[in-house]
Amino acid sequence: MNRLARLAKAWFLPVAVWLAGLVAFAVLGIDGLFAGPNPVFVIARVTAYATAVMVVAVTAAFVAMFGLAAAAMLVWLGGSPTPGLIVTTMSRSFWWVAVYVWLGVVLLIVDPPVALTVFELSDRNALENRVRNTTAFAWMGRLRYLALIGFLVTSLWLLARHARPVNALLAVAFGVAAMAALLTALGLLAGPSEAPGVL
Amino acid sequence: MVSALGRDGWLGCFGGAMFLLLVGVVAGTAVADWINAMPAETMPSFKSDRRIGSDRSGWELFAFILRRNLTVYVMLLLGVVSAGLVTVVVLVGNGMAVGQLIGFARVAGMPSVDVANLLLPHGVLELGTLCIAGAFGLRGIPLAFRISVLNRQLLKSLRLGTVLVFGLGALTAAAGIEAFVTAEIAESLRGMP
Repeated sequence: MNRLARLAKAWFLPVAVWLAGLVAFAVLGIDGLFAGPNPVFVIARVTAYATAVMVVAVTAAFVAMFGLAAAAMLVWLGGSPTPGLIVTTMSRSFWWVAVYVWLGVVLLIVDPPVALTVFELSDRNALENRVRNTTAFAWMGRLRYLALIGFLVTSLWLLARHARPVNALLAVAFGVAAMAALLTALGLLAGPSEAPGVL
Repeated sequence: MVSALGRDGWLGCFGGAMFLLLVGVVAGTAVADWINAMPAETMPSFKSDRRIGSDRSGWELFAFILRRNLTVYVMLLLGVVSAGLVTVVVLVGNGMAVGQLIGFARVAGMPSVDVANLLLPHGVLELGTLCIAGAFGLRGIPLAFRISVLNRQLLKSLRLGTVLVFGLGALTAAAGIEAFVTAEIAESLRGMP
């Protein structure tokens, strides 16, 4: 029983739940959209799975950046946040993202995407239209804001238990600013609709 | 503790970055062979509307390449805050892109000397610089294990400023070579029978 309670409080649990949800979401979404033995679909599936791996890595980096920026602000304001506090805050707030992904999984099970035909793949707009018309993808687009707000509010609440509420608010605001700056910098560097890559 | 992230740590991480890039290159070549082995008659014809280098002026191409490579550079650095995760994915992914390029050129019957002429002038500097960024990003792995004792001295030992200045300079030079030298070589190869 003690071991179970310790597991429930472990920092890696929300991350593991999120990862499991993302795997399920990727399998349902990608295999649903690009179904079939045609080599074109095989290549599309491989590319989409590679993108999903990239999403995992970049999300981890952004959350870490947010946590570091929030901790730096708390230190600057005279506090002394421990790495453990920041890790715990980030991981507990991450439950919002984990629940968000699993909601997407449920929606994909309820309303699976209709597979693209081989001719639709050559049409640039077909994939965008299919994504827009699939309930799960459409709702995921709307619910991401709720997940983000939930993540930030939970972070604020957890930090405010160990620091002054105003300092916690400033720390979260600085974390958001750091993430926004990084996103803007990467967006400006990459330019419109250009995937990063060398050569 | 700092020594573990010092010179030896740098060399180990640099070697690790080169290894990951090579793994990507080998995988990319294998993917190119795999795609080439697929039955061609089942493939629909695609019309690409992407602008490639040939319809850009030299300076436009230079700016395009520099922006693209700087994006990859920044992404590689992000590994330091994600326990190396982003770095591993980006290094393997870019290695695969290079490997596919080599694989498809080989499949198309391009002589190895021509492939080397197209890749080596800028590739050595560009990929070398990206490996340095990769080494920086991979230092996120030991950092993640030392998170409880993270301090200013440990962060200073990463030398982020030096890595950024070097990266900007080296990638600018590589983009210049690619836009003004490699593009000329590509143009001359295109004109050949």
